[in-house]
Amino acid sequence: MFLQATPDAAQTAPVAAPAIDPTKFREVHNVSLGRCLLACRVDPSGKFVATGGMNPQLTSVPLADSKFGTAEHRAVHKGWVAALAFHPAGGQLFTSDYTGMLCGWAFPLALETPTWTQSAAHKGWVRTLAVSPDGSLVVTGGNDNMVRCWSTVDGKLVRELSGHTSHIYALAFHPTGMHLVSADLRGIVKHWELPAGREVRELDFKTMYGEQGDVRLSGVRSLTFHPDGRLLACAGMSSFGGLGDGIGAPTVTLLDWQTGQQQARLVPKEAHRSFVSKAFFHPAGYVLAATGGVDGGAFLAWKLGETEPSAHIKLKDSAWGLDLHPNGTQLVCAHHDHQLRIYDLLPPPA
Amino acid sequence: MSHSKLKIERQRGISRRTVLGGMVGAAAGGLCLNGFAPYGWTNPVTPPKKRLLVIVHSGGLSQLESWDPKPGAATGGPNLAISTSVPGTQVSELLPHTSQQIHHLTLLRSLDTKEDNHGPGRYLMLSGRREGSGLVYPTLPCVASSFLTPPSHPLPGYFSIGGAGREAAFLGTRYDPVNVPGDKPLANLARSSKLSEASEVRRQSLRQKLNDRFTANQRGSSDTSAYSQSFVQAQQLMQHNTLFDLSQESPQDVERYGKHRMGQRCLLARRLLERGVTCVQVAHEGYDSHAENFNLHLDLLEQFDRPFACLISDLAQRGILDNTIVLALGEFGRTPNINQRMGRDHWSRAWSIAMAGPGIGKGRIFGKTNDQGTEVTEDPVNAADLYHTFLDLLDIDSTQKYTIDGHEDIPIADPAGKIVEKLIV
Repeated sequence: MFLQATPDAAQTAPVAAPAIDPTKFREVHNVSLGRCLLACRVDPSGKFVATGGMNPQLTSVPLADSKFGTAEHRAVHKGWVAALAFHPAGGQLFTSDYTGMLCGWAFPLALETPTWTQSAAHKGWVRTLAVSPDGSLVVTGGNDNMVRCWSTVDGKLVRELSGHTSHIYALAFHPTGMHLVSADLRGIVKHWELPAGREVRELDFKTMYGEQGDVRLSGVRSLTFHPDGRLLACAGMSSFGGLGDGIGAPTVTLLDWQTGQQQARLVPKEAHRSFVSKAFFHPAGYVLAATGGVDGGAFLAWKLGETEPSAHIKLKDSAWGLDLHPNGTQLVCAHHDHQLRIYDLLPPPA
Repeated sequence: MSHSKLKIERQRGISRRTVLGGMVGAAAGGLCLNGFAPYGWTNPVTPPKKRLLVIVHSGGLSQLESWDPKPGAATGGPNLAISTSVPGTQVSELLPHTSQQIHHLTLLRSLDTKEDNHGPGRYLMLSGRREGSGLVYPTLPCVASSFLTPPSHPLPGYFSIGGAGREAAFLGTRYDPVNVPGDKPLANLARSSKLSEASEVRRQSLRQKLNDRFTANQRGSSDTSAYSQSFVQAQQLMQHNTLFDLSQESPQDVERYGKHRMGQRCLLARRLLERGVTCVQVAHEGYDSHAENFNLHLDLLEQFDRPFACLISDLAQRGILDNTIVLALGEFGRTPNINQRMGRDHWSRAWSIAMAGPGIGKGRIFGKTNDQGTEVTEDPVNAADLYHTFLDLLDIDSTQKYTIDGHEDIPIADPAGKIVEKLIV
């Protein structure tokens, strides 16, 4: 038996539930930031987007009236910026890179340097970050197969979670804050009980892992809980063809958190060879996802309870990062073609 | 350097025209003949005492994630460069173990081979020629095996670990590789328990007698010769049935090389070379990273790095590197541009290989590419020249010719190429 989300925890969901229409998904604004973008997050106030990608710069872009302002950059990281996460109350941003560095920043970016830095949080890439619902911990997953919990206040190591046998690809806190899930290359999702850090169970998503000869690829690329804590979404790729060619189907698998049983496997109706890079639950009752890969980027939406997508819209290029604006009606997306784009989920004004 | 002239003698009943027709047909079908060479074959009088180890990065290793990193460049990817055992020389951080063996290697960073397709690229790198000439040429290990393996040698001259296929072309089946999986024992090496040793000797003796009579009556063909040779080869392997038995290696070495497939393949390569095999090729597959280049190289080079470093270190320590040419190569490199699949595509205009052994500089960088890795800026090397150089390093005269039918000369290397003298020390 696992803990259900409490009403308080449900309130940690970033947005109320505005009516949206994913079929009306459309681009409303964009800005070019000079390198492929790999991640983006909208700050809890909705006034900034933080992004990073294929260079060591962290970029903060003001956002007002559905338009981007002038970008500010910080060059502290030593390699590509891999992941970003905001403190749920705002005021702090956490960033990681491909050299193993983790930084905690005061946000908005008033200073040139981070509040604290862990230059070797992991040996190798830190692809994923998650911040606890109470804002006390930032958790990192590394290519050293370790999950580490750090104090958001000063960046001190609080706990190490070991047990994965391959690179960590995704992390998510349960809305109660008492459980953490971590996913790796081999499609293993581990459930950890916090604060003790005890491993509770292992969930098998090996369908999102491909092995062909000497090649091992894919992995769970995105983990996210429904705001009520009853469903876990694991996203990536399944139904592999040639791994080196990136052939496979973008896939979101919904799991009943309590029983561990699969509830639904969500794939596009029409073939679109790509990975789901990011997926999350929209409070209006949808699963929204962005993809990148062979056939470029796509926006996908499924209404909860249905397996046929409500929307499958091709994007201008692969999307490696996706976040929901706190207004609940807009998405911000980090694209391979250097563009940060704002998309609306509402019909255009008459 | 050997200047022996090879002679390929026509067998009874098979004309040169028939032979060449067969070759063209085989080439069109993407195959090297039909497995049975139509020619007899004689080795050089005095074979040089050199050996060859080729590690093939099948699919095309990214030079930027290995031998020629460009950290910080727009094309450079997410990995850093690390220092090596040679001050001032860096390789990708994906090669931490190999980085400590760079003092044994030359990193050739200026290959410009102008062939971006897999089959033709592999053929070009291993035969020094472009596909489509109408004649299928043998690969370097087959050629090396044919020159370097003494006729009385008790083992086949060329073992291909993890590879499969026929590569000897007109040299004949005798010089085709013995293909072994590397990560599991070779099957059927032991004599059947139902067969006594005496019975086996009688059977082989009878077979040999019949073969000899058949040949003496001048009814033999290259096919029957090749067929007979396969029995000889099988017997050789049965007499050395511990050759592939990695359980005879120390647990420490098994651990050191790694229990994964590439680790076992490299350990087997060491074992074969230690036991006197002339040519060994090890395949490491999966580098064709049109998608997910960085994840893929992270994993594949983790498989490659430690066993390769162990192999180089062990060969050096045991003196085997003193007479063994080691080549680590693929069919081409990968594009500096990172595509929308997070992949790199095929790129033959500026890429790298690693080399070691006698005549090859230790801890040397040869050639240079520009800051983004898109072009060669110093000492460009093409595949034909490189092939001449490989042969020269093996003490095989690259200007000599195969003689077919007593009157037709086929240069063993592309006459348009020449040895890259600067590459040899």
